[in-house]
Amino acid sequence: MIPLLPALARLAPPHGQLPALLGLALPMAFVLFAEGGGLLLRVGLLLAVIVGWQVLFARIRGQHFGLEGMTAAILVGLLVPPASPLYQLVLAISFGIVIGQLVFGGHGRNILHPSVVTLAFLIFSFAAEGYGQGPDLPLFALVPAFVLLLGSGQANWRILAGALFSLLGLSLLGIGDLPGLMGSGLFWLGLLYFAADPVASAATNPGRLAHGLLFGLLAGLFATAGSILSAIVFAALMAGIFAPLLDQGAITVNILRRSRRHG
Amino acid sequence: MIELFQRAIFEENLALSFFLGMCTYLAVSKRLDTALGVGVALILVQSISVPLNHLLHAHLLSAGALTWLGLPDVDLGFMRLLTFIGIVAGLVQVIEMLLDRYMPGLYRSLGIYLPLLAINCAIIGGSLFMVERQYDLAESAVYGVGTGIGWALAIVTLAAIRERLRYADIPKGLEGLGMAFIVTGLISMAFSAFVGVRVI
Repeated sequence: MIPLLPALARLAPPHGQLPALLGLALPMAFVLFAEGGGLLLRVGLLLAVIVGWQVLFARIRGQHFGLEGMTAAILVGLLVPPASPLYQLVLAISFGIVIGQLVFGGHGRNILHPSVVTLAFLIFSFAAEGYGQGPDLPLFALVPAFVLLLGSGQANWRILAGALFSLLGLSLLGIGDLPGLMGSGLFWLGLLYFAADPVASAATNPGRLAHGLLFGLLAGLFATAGSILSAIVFAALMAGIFAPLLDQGAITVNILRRSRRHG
Repeated sequence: MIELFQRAIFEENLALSFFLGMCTYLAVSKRLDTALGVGVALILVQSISVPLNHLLHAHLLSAGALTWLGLPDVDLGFMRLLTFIGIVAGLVQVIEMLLDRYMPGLYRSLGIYLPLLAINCAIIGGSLFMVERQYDLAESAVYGVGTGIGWALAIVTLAAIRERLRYADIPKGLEGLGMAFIVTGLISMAFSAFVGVRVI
């Protein structure tokens, strides 16, 4: 038995996740209204699994954890279909939280967003269940998240600007469906929470712009071959994979420029 | 042609979907600069060896290829593997000498892995896929460059992530190779998204 209380004492102060959580309130309310209470059951189950793993890692490795597990649980719970088998969710969220976050040392040290890893796992492994569909979120449901995340600086504007610029470029070339993407709440949810996640995205300013450009480009391309949700999940996964490389590129360019300037 | 190029880089990536060339891939990806070096070396070897092997296969080795010498019944197909390995080994030798002469720093940091490129299964695999899929000369050239770029992209990405992982707090048992395997799995999952996506 693992004593729960000492592990819970390792909870990090909650203020870091507050903008993200508050921003999810309206999409949650919207899906609750459209679908009913099943959402709460799913989120509760996902959260229980996540906290279980976090407590285990906190006990064994002395890691701290905060409310980021709640954000991850809500994001996954919102985006999977109402009829998804629970064992698949348990399996996927375990994969997402352990392989996507906890083995790296917990929140802040991971390279990918655990919800993105979870959803990619679901879309990839259970192709027949329709995990790529996602709910029909209206644009207005994401307005609070946009204001809160951008205002608190958690979603960097360079990433958003880069992504929109890429999509605009694609649509000028006649590829993809710009109004369809931009008018969908799902796309903005993915952009704000997955692509612009402060941990999984690039950490230098030029890197952030490049990260946004890459995400927009991939999301636009992937959306031509599949649904919006699978496009944003895999675009965010891919952009997150390349983020360290983009940062290294930005750092190298900076070093070269400075050494040229200062001799 | 563009489709073949794109497929060779992403969805049929030799490292991430066929898991070829893994020993070099995992061993040389600790630092970004050496990964970049071995990636460029592999692009070079691959873009020369696949079309060259195609020419040898089409005009010397395959059944009936020697008709132009008046020997229509000769089939040198059994020499294929041997010839391909010879070509690759020769190319690697030349690149090794060039690096030793012009880029001694990179030469030293690549160490044993540069000569080991001669038996890198991604390189020989590229040539064997070329034969199996019956690419023509132009397709072989595109396929060679594409698979080279794809493999280089994969190792450079992994190296950048591994450099970033210095700031991570990884469990003792997973440090080093264990984490490299996990990250490779995640990268490979991301690359699978390109299945069915066509730019043009």
